Amino acid sequence: MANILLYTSLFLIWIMLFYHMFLMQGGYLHSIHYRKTADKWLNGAMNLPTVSILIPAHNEEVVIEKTIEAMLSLQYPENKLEVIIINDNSSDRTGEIADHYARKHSFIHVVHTRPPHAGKGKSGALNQGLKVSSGEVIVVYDADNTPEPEALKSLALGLKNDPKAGAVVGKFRVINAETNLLTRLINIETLTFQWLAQAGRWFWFKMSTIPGTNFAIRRSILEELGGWDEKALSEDTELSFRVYNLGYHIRFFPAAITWEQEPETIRVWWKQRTRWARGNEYVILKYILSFHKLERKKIVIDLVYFLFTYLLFFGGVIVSHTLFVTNLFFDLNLSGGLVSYLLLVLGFLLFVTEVTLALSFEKKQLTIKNFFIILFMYFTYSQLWIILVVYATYLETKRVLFNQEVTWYKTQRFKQDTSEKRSAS
Amino acid sequence: MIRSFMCISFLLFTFLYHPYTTLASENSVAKALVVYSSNNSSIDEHQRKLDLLIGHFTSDTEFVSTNEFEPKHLEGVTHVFYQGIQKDNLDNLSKALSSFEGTIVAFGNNFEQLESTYSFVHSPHRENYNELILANKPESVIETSIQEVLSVKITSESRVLAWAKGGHQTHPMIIKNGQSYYIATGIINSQLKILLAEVFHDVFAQPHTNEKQGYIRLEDVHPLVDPVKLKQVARELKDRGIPYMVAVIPVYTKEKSGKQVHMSDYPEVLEVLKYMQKNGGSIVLHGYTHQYRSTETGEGFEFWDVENNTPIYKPANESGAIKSRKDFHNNQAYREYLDGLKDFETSYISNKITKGIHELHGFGLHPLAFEAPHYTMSQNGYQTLSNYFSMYVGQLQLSDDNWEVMEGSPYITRPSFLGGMTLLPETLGYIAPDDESAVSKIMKDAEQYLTVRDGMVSVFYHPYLGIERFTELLDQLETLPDIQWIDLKKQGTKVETSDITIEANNGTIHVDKNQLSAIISSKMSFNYFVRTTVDKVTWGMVGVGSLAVLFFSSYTVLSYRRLLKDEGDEKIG
Repeated sequence: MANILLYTSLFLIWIMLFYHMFLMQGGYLHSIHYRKTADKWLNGAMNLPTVSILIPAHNEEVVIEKTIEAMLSLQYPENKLEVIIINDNSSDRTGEIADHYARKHSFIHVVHTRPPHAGKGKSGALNQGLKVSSGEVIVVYDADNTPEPEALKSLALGLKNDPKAGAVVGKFRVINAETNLLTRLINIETLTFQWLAQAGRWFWFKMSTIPGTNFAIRRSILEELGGWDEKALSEDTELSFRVYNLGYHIRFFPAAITWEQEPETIRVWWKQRTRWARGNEYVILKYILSFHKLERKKIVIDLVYFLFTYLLFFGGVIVSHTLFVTNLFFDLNLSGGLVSYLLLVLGFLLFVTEVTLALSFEKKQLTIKNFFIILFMYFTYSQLWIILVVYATYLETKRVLFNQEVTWYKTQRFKQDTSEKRSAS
Repeated sequence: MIRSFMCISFLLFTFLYHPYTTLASENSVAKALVVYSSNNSSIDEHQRKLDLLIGHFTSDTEFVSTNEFEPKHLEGVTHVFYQGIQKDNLDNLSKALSSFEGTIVAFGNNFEQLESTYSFVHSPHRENYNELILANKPESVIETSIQEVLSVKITSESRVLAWAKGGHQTHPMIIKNGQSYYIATGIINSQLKILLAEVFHDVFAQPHTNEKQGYIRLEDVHPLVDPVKLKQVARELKDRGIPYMVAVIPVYTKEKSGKQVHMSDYPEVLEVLKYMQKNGGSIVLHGYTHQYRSTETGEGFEFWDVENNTPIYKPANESGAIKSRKDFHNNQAYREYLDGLKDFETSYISNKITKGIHELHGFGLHPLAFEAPHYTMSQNGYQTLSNYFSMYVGQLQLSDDNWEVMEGSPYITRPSFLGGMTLLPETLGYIAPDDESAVSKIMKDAEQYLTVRDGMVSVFYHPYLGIERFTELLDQLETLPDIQWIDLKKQGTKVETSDITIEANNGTIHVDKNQLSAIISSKMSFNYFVRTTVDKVTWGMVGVGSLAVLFFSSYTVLSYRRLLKDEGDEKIG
């Protein structure tokens, strides 16, 4: 029995690891190919589309100003651009700051939402913004983002040059990477996630997941889909699935770069990531239950991937951890032998090589310090994810069983030292 | 189109498929009729002994008692055998034979009633003998226990082919006159059969080549044998280039606990067996557990209930004797009861055989023939077995009333009672652990069997005895002149269950299987299959994972260098 569990978990884990190897290979190839595409598109003459940038903001007084400043420095014709800040039921000075900029710049608009149409989370705010927008292309930035000047143009050109793309996703970088160990870990994590999962899936399957920020989507698609799903905790994943289902692909285009703030304390990290995990579990459940209705079966690739990530892979890891610990105290008569130890070591080596490879694509990220953080990460940060997924699964199960309503947790922002900005660029 | 092609290839196959043995293929039109006089109306071991001898030349043999005999039985018959075990009235037969033009061979009593044919022998009286001598090989004297011969006087035109000698007196044992033969006893004992085997080549006018055959069988190889000793024996045979057989028992049952262990529990033994299969060895299925009641494997009988001296008629744990006719009101009820017993036996045997084949197959071992534990099995057992195997190895139990009545034959044979199976007889026994003269006894017996032109010298050896005694045996066997050691893989054997067909010819084994059901049908080999597959897959994972680590590391270097170069370019620019 213990052996069956051992091997089941081993295979579950390794199916995932193999898939990651495959994705990482794609990510590496994409890291080479995308530069050529970017050069061609950015240097070619092209009629730019009209763009509406949506910035949902709920109590964002700490960061909103800098975000708006970044919007002002975007390289994009002013007559084709509108920036809509959705001041979603804020109780701080967010609205005030936004209004101040709106008065000075005609292309900046502010939507103030009030109950009952307010405070329903990001999806709700985005839908409010969508209503008043007019651009052919909708771009979303979180209120803590500072996109690079060329980012918007890259996103817009991505959609313009690739008619099959329903959305174009840019790359996000961590602005506060140097702040503390946690942000360093998050920095490494986000880079790996983007080069492995996003770039890899784009390269092989023409799929990538819309993140919460720094992406452009065709207005026509949003209208056809009826906007964002307000029940979804991770509205972006959910939206991605619906875009695939219309037959579009989602391009990962790392030339469009934004910088965003990541949680600086474990507590904030925990809450934010719990929301993501729960959100993704919600999506898995929603689409598995209605799988027969889906028109594009390609979604299976991602659905299975998420299913593996959140349930089977972590399930496997938990089982194998449990067996490992139990075996320290009781002899479970495990027959794994040498090969299972080799796999244990290889799993670790794969983690290290994949993460270092992802860091090597970015300037000044592959440092000795980061290398040691990667080693450390495997035993700490990565393990923390296990507990988090268990917790999120518990909450999601409870929500489904007791039919609870979701509450949207807004990520807490931190005041940035300006000197720190783009210190890693 | 496809279908007609399949038909054609099937037909071709059936024609081309021809077992390679020295069995009579050139003259297989021979059709034999055996008429017998015995106290048993149905055939018994005496007729089956004859069947064993005739089977070398034809399998088309019919047996009738004198009471059942009718002239129509002679239709198409080329050879008539009359076996006179006891006094009888042969009026019917005598009349019918008077116009018979084929060969007649009469044994023992009542020959004088066949007067038109057997006028060349007369005045029988009983004598004892203890030696047998072939007339054309007077130098080979075959010793027997004291036996009875019907000493006869013969006419001058008759020819004595073999003599029986008792004291200073010799008596004609096999006499030929034209197309008729007389054998001066109705009972075929194990020495007489050797002479008969040689003479029957003349009877059937099938001279056959003077090619002696032999085999070496490694006996009772079960999961608990010592793999080191087994491997030593296998290496020795390989080094000498002698093909051989391995009688494998897939399951070992421990006597005390009744716990069953399988090959999968002892992968080292399994590995040696696979090595053997690759290097000259052929697997013979030696039962499934080699036991019926909860006795230890190797000791027990699997297909015979020794306690009751009956076939396996009931589950091992069921007590109570087998009923007899007097326990029933009428014949009908008794017959139904007997049919029930037989059905039980049939399904018991089928089940064990199927399990054995599937389990071994699942482990990658392909049994090519069968050998019943202790050579014991009922007639119904052989019929059942013939649904699965085309070749049987060892000796045969000839009576359904007593397991101890068993016999081999001096040469390869296909007696009619084996349901189409070919017997590769074991003739020389084995090396008993405590018998130091075992090898010389074997060599002495071998001489007798070599008097038959295509006689068989075959032995079995228990590998647990170690390599020394084995090399001693081989050294001696190799002094025998020109023995063709049988390679089962070249014999055109066929083993078949509903899920697997194993065929061997020209030295290769071909397995046709419904893979999934063959694996699943044996739980043991399925588990083993899963285990070995898991093992292979996990090592595969290690391989691919290691490659990925190498690749990613080199990508990292490449990518890092490219970035450095870009930065350099930017600075210059």
